[in-house]
Order: sequence, then C-alpha cells, then structure tokens
Amino acid sequence: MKLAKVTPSKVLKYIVLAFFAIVFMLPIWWVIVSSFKRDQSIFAALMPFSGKALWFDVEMYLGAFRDIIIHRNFGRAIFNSFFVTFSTVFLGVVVTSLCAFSFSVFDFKGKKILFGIVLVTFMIPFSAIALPLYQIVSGLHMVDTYWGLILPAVANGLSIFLFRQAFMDIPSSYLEAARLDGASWPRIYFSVYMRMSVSIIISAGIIIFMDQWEAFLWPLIAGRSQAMKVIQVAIADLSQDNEIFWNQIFAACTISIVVPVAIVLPLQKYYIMGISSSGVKE
Amino acid sequence: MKCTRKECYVPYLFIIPAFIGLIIFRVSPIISSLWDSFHTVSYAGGMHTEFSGLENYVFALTDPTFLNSLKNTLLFSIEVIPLQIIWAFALALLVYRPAPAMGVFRTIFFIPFTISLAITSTIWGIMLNPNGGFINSILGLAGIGPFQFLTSSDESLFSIVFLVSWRCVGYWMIFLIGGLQNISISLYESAWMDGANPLQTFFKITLPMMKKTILFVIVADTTQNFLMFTPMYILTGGGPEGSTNVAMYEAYKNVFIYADRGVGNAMVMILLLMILVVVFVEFKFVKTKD
Amino acid sequence: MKKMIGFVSILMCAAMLFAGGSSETAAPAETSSSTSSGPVEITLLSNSVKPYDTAIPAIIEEFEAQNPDIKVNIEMLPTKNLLEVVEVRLGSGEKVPDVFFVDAPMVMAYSVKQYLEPLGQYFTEEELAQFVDVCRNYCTVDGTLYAIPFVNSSQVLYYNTRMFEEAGLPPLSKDPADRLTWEEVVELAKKLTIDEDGDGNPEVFGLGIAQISRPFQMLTMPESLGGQPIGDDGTVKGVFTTDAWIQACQFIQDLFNTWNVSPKGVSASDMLAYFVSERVAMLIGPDYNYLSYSQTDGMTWDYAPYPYFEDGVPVTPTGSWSLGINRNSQYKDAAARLIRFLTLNPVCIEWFKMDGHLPSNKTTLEYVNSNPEYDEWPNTIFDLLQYESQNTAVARPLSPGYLEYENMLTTAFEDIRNGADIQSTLEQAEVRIDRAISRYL
Repeated sequence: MKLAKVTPSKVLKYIVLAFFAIVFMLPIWWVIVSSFKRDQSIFAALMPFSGKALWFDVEMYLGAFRDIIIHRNFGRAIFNSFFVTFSTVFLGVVVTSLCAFSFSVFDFKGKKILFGIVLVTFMIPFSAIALPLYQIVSGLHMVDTYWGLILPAVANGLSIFLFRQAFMDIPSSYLEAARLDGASWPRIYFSVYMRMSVSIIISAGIIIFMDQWEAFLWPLIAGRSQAMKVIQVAIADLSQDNEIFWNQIFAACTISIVVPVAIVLPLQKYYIMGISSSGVKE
Repeated sequence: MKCTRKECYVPYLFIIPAFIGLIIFRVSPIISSLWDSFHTVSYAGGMHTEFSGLENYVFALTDPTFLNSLKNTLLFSIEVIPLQIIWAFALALLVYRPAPAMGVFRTIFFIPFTISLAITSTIWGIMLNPNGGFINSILGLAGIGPFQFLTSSDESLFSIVFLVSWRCVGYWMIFLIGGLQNISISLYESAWMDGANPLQTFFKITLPMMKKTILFVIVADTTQNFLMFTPMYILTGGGPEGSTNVAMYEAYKNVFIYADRGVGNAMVMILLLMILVVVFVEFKFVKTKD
Repeated sequence: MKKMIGFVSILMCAAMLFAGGSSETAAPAETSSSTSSGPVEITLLSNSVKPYDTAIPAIIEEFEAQNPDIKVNIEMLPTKNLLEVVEVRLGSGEKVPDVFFVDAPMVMAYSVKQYLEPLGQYFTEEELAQFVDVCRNYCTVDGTLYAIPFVNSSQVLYYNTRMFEEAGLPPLSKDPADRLTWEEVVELAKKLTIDEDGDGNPEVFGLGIAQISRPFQMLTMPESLGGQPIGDDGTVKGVFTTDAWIQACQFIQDLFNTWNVSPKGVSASDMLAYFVSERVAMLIGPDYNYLSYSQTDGMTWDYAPYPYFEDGVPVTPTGSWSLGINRNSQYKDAAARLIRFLTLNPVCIEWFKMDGHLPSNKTTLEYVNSNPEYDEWPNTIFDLLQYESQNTAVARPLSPGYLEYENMLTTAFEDIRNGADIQSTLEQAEVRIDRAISRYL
C-alpha cells in the first residue's frame, strides 16, 4: 500500500470526481430547495433561470408539503408506494430464492427449459405486455387492488438469476452435511442457503425494490383510483393540462427521492458485496 | 444433486410459486399478444374480430412511421448503451480503490438511480426548457449554446439519452466496482514489476478479467433500455417530427390510443424477437472476443 | 447493520399484515354490493383538470346526500390519460367505470366500439330539449343518444391590463364586431414582448395559446380562412394541404420561430401558469378561467373576443365533456340517476356556479341572462361567450376515428410549432390519418 501523498494525478482525480458529483447532485439539490419555496418564487427564478433557484428563500415555505399531503391525498399515495414496494420485495425474495434453490441444488426433468423461460421473461419489459396483462389481471378481479399491483412483479427473473449464481457457489459439502444430519429440504434452504446469502438477499431485494419503485405504466392503468394511486402516478397527475403546481411537484419529488435514498443507502455496502461476490460471475 | 425416487416432486415444489407468477403474468400475456397479432378488429359494419394471418406484420413492416421508430430505437440503443457503460466504467475506475471520501462519491453517483424514471423525466423536462432554462443558463456561463433540447428534432433523442444515462450510470457503476474488486491485486503487481504502464495494464489485465461483468452489464443494460419509452411518453410524445418516437412507444400508441390491437401486438412481437436477437449477439460477440 | 436488517424485515412483515387485512375488507364489499342490500356503489371516471378536481367531489357529495342508496367512487385523470384509460378499460369489457367523461367528438368512436349505452330511455323529450342543440347533436349518432352534454366551452383572448398600460397600448374592445385579427394580435404581441437583457430569450412573451397544438384550439385557424377539418367523404385526403391550412400553419410557425412572440417548449399547462405569473401578456384561454382570475389577488386582467384572420371569418372552438354510461355497467339505473342529477335543472345551475364553464343547458343560460349579477364585470364575459356559441362556434369533426385524428394532428401541429416543414408535415398527417380512419369506413 502506498502512503497517502498529494500528487498532481490525485488532485486531478478529485477534481474530476467533484465535477461528476456536481453533475449528479445539482438537479437533486435544486429540486429539494425548490420544494421549500412558494410557486411564484420558483417560477421567478426558473425561466429565465437565475442563481436564486439554487438556494433557499429567506422564508422556508412548508405549504407545498402540506398541500400535497392534505389536499392531494399524497399521504395515501406514499403509503401505497411503500406498501406495494415492500410487499413485492418480501414476496419476491421468498419466491425467487425458493425457485433458485431448486435450480441450483437439484437435477430434474425440464430444468433447462424452465430456466430458459426465466431468462427470456426477464428481458420482457412490463410495457410490452401491459394490455394482455391488464386483461388477465382484470379477469382475476385484481384491477385496482393491491394484489394487482404486487403480484405481477413478484416473480422477478433477474432475482432468480442472482440467487441461482449465489447458491451455486455454496460448497455442496454444506448440503451433504445437512442431509446427513437429517435436515429437511425447507430447513436446508433456510438454515444453510439463505443464512449464507444475506448480501444476495439484499441485492435481490434492492433490484425488486427498484423495479417496483420505478414502475409507471402499470400502476397508471392498473391502480387508478384515489385509494390505489402510487406516488409516481400522483406526481404525473400534478402536471396536468391545467396550471402546474410547481412547488407541489418538487415537494412530491423530494419525498420520492429522500425515501428510497434513506432505505437503499444504508444497505449499499451489502449491495456491492452481493453483486461482486456472485451476481456478475456467469 | 439427483433426487431419490421418493422425492422427485421436491424440486418442482420449490419452483411452483415463482412459475405460477411467471406463467400467469409473463408467459400468458405474451401468448395472448401473439394471438392478437394474427387477428384484426374491424368496425366497418359492426365490430368483429377475424383471423388475418400475417397481415398485421406486413402492415407494421411497411409502415413508414414504425420503420422510422425502429430506426430511432436502434439509434437510441447505440447511443445509450455505450455511453452508459463507458461513463459507468470511468466512474468505477475512479472510485473502486479505497481512498479518502470514495464511499461518499460512490453514494453520490448512485443516488440518481433511486429516483424513478418518470420523476427523472419530469425534473429534466423543466431543466431543459430552451427559453433560458436551467441547463441553457449554466451552459451559457461557459459560452456554449443555447440549445433547443427537446424541441429540436436534432437534439431531442440525445437529450433523452443523456437524462436516462444520468439516472443509470451509478447503478451500472456498482456492478463494475464489484467486478473490479474481484481482480486479484497480485495480477497488477506482477504487471507493474514488468514495467507495464497504466494503459497496458488496463487492456491486458482489467478488461479481460472484467469480461463477465461487462457482459452482464451490457445484457442488463440492453434489456433495460431497448424498449424504454417512459421519458418519451412524458416529455416529447415521440416528437419533434417523430425524432423520439421509439418503436415500443409506437406499439403502445397503436394498442392504447389507436385501439389497433392487431398491429400494435404485431409490433410488440417484432420487438421481442429483436431484443432476443440483440442479446444473443451480445453474448456471442463478447464471448468470441478472446 | 444487523439492527437495520431486523428493522427492515419487521417493516416488511408489517406490510404483509396490512396486505392481508385490506384484502379481507375489500373482498366482501365487492360481493355485498352485487347482492344488493346497502347502497349501490358506482364509479365515476372524471377529468382531473381544474375546476373539476374540486368541483366534482363537492357536487358528488351533494348527490350522495340526496341519494343515500347510491355511493359514488370518483376516479380522476388528466385528459390524455383519461382517453387512454377509457380505451384500456372499456376495450377490455370491464364493468367499471359506470359513468365516464366523454369528450364530445369521441361519442361517435365510442358508440362504434360499443363502449356506450344508449341513453334515450332515461330522459324525456322535454328534458332533452333543455340542452343546447349543438351539444346534443354532438352526442347523437344515427338518431341514437349516447351521451349527455355536461359542459360547453369557448375561448377568449385574455390580456394583462397593467402590461398593456406600460406598453402604452389602449384596452381592447369586447365587441365581437370589433374583434382583433390575428395579424393585429401579432403586432400587439411584438410590442408586449420584452427581452431586457437582449439574450434572445424574452423575459415576457407577447402571446400564449393555452391549448397549443390541440385540434380543439388549432382547427379554428385554418377554418377561419375557409379550410375544412375533414373531407365530405370522411377522409382527410387533400384537406390539410389546401392554401387555408398552409397559410394558417405558416402563421403558427412564425409565432414561435420568426416573430418569437410565443414561448417554445412550453406545454399547455405551463402556458396557463405563464399568464398568471405575468410571463405572457396575452393568452388565448378557456372560458372558465375567468373564475380563477377574478379570485386571484393582484391580477390585472381583462378579456376580448377570439381573433380571426384578416382574409377570413371569425371561428371559435366549442364542445366539451359529456357524460356517458359504460355499456357493461351493472348499475345503469343508478348511473343514469347520477347523470340526470348533474346535467338537468336545477343542479346544472349550481354546477355552473362551481365550475364556470359555458353551460350546455339552456335553463342555465336563461338563469345567466336574467340574473343582474351577470351584468357586472367580469361576469359580462358570458355575453361574449353566448354570442360566440351562437354565431361563430364550429364543432370539431364527427368521425369514428376522431381519437386517431386528434392524436396524429396534434403531433403535426406540434412539429409545425417546432419549425418542421409545413407542406410535408401536413402531407404525412393526411396519409397517416386516412389510414387509421379507413378501418371505420
């Protein structure tokens, strides 16, 4: 290991890093600052743009947050987003890891074809199948229910793939030892495989979390009512044909930025570990 | 592990929950799309559905709007995938080695990915306003611009490429960091001993060792971007002059707006076939690059 | 970190519990409503644009108070999404929504696709006579009534009186006989456009057009010059490439590109905000906006008639939302009661006071004309609106392919606004629209 010495190349490296940090953070900073302003003040600094847009006004205006939560029912939308996302993550991790366990531990008839189906389905985006999917969900009477928003996203192909990679790396000696002890298959799945894959559980969880948190078209058509609206859709509704409520949009964006950041960042270390330890090994 | 005769049903029990989900919510919609793509709904003389063979496919593949949208899809992919991967690789190389504040930078680069694409689009839509908007003002300080961004057919597609990349590079960076950290330091050390310069070590050691990671990122990036149209839906509606009208959006419009399920689903099938081919080629290409 | 994982997993478990709980409560509600006993639950799919976002819930509350046996769920969507969701839901044969907002020119398309229940049986002849003839005709296809006019609409030229004074311009006449030509509007707009720092990006633009690129607004311009919106045979072949269309489109393009008096890259919604925050001095805007302007402190505004081309005649937009019943609805009687409540006298007058749209019910118009309150500014705007509706209003074309027509034409107008070649854009639009419409003919 070299000693930490200040060299020109290091200085240059930090300058480049700082530049990118600004590129990534400036828009977010601007959104957060703007959410504490009045509409007129945002607009005055917006077009044409002035430096004032990047710093708080003297008065911190919290009205936008109040408006979206009280008048626009964002409380419900935020709850829905959370609820739908976490339920999907929980169910998704369980269902996909079970499936991956089977694929990595057993040999069985049709394994190759079935795994092929998994690989093909993870290449198909929701939007490509939205209409037939809608008809199926409608036939199951799940339109405008939590189930209709959650279940279609549970069987995540990428997550199955990740889990399979991780499970295949677990030495079979563990499995054999557990079998000799007379452990049942569910017990082996849970006490051996899941126990040893905490970082993969988090990686897969975050992948599912992000898929669901980012979904737009599906909740737009399948969760329309006030009771089922998620935050992405609620925000899109704010920028409608009439006057736009800028500060409300920014306030809603702020909430939708801060929340996932608060959840994902503490887990980021595990995420990297999970991916580096398995996900990218073919 | 081979199952004993008594337990042959066990593997299937484990995959059943996932496969119920995959079959109901993924496989059957595709089959339904496939069926629709061979049928036509007609309204002349009362509404009726009839089998129309390959008519919808022929229509789609001779429709100048769809062909133009295919061109846009390829252009978009050719711009967005390399840009994201090179950008993400550059960031990963900058931050993967432990050094002061690297964790902070990694975190900062990753944050945009936690903002959903719909919201990213809304925010950037405001910033890219051509009349003295955020970005034009900042570029103006450096003496560049002004640009028309989303209102010019020359600049709109790249504007979207940029905003999509802005959001995603941090995500791909994480995968690449994972790969970089797996390369044993002893490989580099022996290269340094041989007097290799950084460029040589990059091409001789880093790239070959990263092949699998890069393949994974390329494939995942392709599946994420090839059929993406949320930013176009929110920001441009496919314009100006069809310059951001990507193929999946055109298919979506046919199904949802023009109520032409036959043609719309034929387009979807064409696109699914394309993405399978593209991913297959990517696998082949990266594998034979040894 | 272990704590963190524990916390997250507890959160997830809690979420699962909620899932179980909510689904249990939701399921019986569905079945009980179908086996009667308790109020019937119907769903209204409404536009979420102002003033509906507040006015609809308020009036529905009143309906529920008067009809305790009916409960109304309200779903609200912006215009674009509303049209898409109707295609998805009704195209899939769903039972909900029971009642939905139907844009007047869409009635024909929806009736062809069998989304709409005929409504003749729910209304008497006298009741139907309450509706303004143009609006009622809009809702009738081959003699069958498929929707009930809810509101009508028109447009006026709003302007900022303070900015006019500062530019040394006299106030505009409200007399339809003295209306401005588009050419005069441009001259005014040039004087009102302010670019203080001279960077080519004006701080204040002379003119904003609220429904920019949407046929509702834009068709009036070629029509003022004698252009047709659609051919007699129901196709658009050769319709858009006439001199009237090209001249009108050239004018639109020049507004944004040559004269630079209107802001590019600004959506319809932003345009309305531009007028309120004094970034545009004149706004071609919807009738009902007068209500919110008169309630905004410190706004200096007035209205004038909709402009026309010097070589042409005055043409104003008209037609707005109607209400229709889903053909697959399980509760058509309850749905019809809701529509009757909203559209007939006396509630139509109350509704008018809440939303401010030009009424589609004659009794509301009579109320406006006989009420002295409406002789005072700004309510005098209704004299102008009624004049326009009786003399200059031209409905959008009735075509079973109107949805495709509107979408493709909007795209063409948007391209022209952004500076695309006019002739070729219009030629392409003709080809595309005709191909879409041919499925219906």
